[in-house]
Amino acid sequence: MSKVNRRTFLKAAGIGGAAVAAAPTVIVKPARADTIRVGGLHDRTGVIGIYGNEMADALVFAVDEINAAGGVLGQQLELIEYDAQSTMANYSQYAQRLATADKADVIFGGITSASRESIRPVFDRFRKLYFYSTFYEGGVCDRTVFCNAETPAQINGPLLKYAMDKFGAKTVYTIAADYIYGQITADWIKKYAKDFGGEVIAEEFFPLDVGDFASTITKIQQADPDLVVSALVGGNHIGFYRQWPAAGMQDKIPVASTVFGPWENAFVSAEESEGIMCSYHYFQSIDTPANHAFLERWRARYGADAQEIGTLAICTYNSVNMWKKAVEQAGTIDRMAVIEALETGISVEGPGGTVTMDPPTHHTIMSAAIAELNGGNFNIVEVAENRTPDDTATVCDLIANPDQATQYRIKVD
Amino acid sequence: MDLAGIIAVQIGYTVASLALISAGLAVIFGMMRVINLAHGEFLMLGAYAVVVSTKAGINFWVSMLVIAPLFVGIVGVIVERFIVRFLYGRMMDTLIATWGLSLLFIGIITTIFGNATESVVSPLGSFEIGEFAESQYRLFIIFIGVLVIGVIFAVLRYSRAGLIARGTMQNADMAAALGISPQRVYTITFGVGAALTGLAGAALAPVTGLLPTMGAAFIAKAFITVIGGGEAIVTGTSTASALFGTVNQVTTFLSTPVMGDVALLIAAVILLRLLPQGITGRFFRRWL
Amino acid sequence: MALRIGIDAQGLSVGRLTPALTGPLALVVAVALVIGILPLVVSDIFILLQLTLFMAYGILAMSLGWVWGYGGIFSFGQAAFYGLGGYTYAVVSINMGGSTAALFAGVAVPALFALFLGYFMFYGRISTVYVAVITLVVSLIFYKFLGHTAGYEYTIGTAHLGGFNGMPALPPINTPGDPMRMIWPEDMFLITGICLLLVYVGLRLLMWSSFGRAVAAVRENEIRAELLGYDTRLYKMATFGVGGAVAGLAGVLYANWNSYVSPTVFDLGFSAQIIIWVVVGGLGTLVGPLVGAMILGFVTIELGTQQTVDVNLILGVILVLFVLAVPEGVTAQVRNLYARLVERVPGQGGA
Repeated sequence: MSKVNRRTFLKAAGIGGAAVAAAPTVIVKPARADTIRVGGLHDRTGVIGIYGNEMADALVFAVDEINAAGGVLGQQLELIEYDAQSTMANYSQYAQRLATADKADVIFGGITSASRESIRPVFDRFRKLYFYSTFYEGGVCDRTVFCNAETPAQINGPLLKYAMDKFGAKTVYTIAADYIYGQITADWIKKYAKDFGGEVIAEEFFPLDVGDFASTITKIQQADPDLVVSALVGGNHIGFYRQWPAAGMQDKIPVASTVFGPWENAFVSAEESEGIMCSYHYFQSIDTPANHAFLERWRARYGADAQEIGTLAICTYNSVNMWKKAVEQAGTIDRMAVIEALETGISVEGPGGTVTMDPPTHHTIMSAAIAELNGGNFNIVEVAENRTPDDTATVCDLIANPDQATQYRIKVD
Repeated sequence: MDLAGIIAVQIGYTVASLALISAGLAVIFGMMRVINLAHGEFLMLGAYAVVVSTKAGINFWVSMLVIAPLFVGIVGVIVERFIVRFLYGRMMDTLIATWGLSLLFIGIITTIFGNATESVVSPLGSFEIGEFAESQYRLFIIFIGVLVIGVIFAVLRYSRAGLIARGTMQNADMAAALGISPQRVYTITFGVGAALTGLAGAALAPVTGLLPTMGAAFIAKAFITVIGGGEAIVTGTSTASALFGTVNQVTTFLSTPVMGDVALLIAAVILLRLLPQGITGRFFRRWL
Repeated sequence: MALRIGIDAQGLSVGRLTPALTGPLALVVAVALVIGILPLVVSDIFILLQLTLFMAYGILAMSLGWVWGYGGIFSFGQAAFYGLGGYTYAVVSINMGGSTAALFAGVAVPALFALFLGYFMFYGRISTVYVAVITLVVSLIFYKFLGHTAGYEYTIGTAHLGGFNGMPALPPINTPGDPMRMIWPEDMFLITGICLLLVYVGLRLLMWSSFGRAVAAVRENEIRAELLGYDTRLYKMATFGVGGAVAGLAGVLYANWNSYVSPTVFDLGFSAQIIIWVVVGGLGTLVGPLVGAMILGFVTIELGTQQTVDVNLILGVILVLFVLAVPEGVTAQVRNLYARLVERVPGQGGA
């Protein structure tokens, strides 16, 4: 209270104006009263740009689509977009800016788990509704946060079952990125391999800046597994998908990946990627009328030769539409009202099928498609419907205990 | 026994690729005392050059051995003439300027090609030692690494151009008095350093992911190798590459890639503590 | 050997007291006023938050300004002490709740580590370029190691190091004895501002002290200083230690601003950025690095608000043009301009 009084007094005394003029000018976009402000925070440039661009594009696309159809509650959306340049300190700065200066009503963004964990506390503190749309290790349990993309339990199970059945595999060699995503994914692979009658015989983890996989390829040959499962992430790890076929291993041991998507595929040739199996909620090759219609609109906007997009773009797109539906159901953009609307288990029809909010975990129930790369294309071979976020559900129930705001480390057994 | 063979090949490969990525830097830093922070981006430009020209239908080997070094060499000459030239003797300003250049190159390439580009495929098949298979391309990298070091040595030691370059670096005024333009020598040296770096980038293109920021993964290792080697360009770079490459690869095989990198870094710290002038500050002192 | 007093101040840049004193004094008063008044009048929290970060960066830049610009030791890895400060604060504050011990640990651990590293380097008589490489390598080792700590076995007390994802939700600095009192962004701004002033004044006083003069003597001519009886190794180690402590403090403030630390504080890009702040602001001054950090921090953030041109491209052009056009750094340029203006006004330029 005293703060406000002190401030009001000084301002009234006229000192305020002069001192503000002397303060460094920070450009603050004038917020129009009749619009709903939507914040976007992705890496368009830098190392993470390979993932960030399609997410940011999808956000712009969804907002434009909604505006063209008349906005939300009769109000137009105003998108305030920042490029975090793949730098962690920028994430916190832009998150603070979105929450305080721009007064955004909802924020879509964050790509790596590190970026999400650096901005989540900001949105907790300033009470902002936040949607995170990247597949990740699971375990985020926070009332103000909604995670609308795949977690390991949703996509790894079907993929491993398919790959092990197809090749009659009993022994699995796991190679993964050396951070929490890779480690937890490796834990799940171990569990699923056992569930499906096999075992993981070795696990190896790689820092994100390792690009040479020679000794690993030799170690794999030494161990001679029936299947290699990769959870490698990012530009440097592409080296594996290139050195593996170059060593003549492609026809000897099959590779399944929980991460390989259109982003990785853009780096390698059709020969190099031949036969890799992977799983996501969405692939551009999904053959449904809804997806064809979506892609037609997408290409009308970003060109007929637009870069192939994947689940990251679609989960972002679905997030925006799910938020819109919740706002309309609540009849207001008030944060708590929208959260409660989302917690009724709202679902939307997206290009990859129906996605439904799972109220206790704030994660989504969605289908998982398994694809095999043939001639550089993701060929859908199987679709597992209604995959629930079982991993996060083991640690998180926001209906019973709404005051949680943390990320749990999920123990797999 | 087969395992020993394959590990030997891999150690050879690690050493050779370390020497390759460091050679250009060694020439630029060793001869001109210019810390080129855009070194990683010269590598990146070399890799992009080989990919673009291969896609344009030019033979892979021609693209890699001729076009990429030529292109990056020309870029180097331009950079020297328009920027670095004004900054000789101002080591720190060169540092900022080349850092700026590195950002600029990343920005340009991202704007033109986007964040991801499909790279060229390794054109050679694989070979087998007993039950282990390995890419023939790794043998080729070893060959190129030895070749590059050999050529630098031969040029510096036996050619007139090498003599002029060494003389100018030792005493520019004296060289000028003898009728040689130091300015031109600097430009050419910088261009040659850039071309070598372009060649290294091109050679690595078939085994790495091609993205605008790929240079960052190499620059620290290259610097540590060059400085660990000390004054002598050829002997320093090759002995430091041999030492660091072996430490890195053996540790990687015995434990994990992280430990391999950490072992390399710790080896560098210990080396510099014991030999503050680098390897060639103590051994091979009069060598090139 | 004890640190000796007494070297002829003549010929050292800090020797002439009057003009050397008025400038810094005026600056301190002005900055103190701004820091004191700003939270009262700026209703936009964001401006305060952003300035808080830039002040933390400024302290970090000053630490390098001291070690390199004043002490002549080119540290390419100042980020190592900054990150170590942040991580120490994180581990101690998570384990102990209260922040006072964490704050001191966050300064002390990097300082001790800097002394240790300084002992290793300077008593080994390692030359300048090699000192740069060793500091950089040390920073990279931290980067690699902390990036590798995602597994649960890397837990210190109750603090999990978290690997590449870093450590989120750190408890903020709190009032000693009253940990429940909320810290508002305004308070954090004030705390950071006061730290900034203390560091500036502290380093200034240190430069004026006999210790500081000896450091300058070592920088100017190591052999002469040694012949005069100074143990140059000791002075360099101490200089480096002070720099480590200041960088550690900056790291603690950063961790507080962000409630988060991750291994990216140790990476090559950030290390290079600190050097660039110092050079852009002006090497050899104390204000310069501060100004450099603020200008570049601001430009980088503003560039990310637009999507038309690649950010790296613009930043790259700015840096290249800057080096060619403003070779001595912003501070020197402004000072020259000021000197020229003063000279033109008759009757005023009698200094």
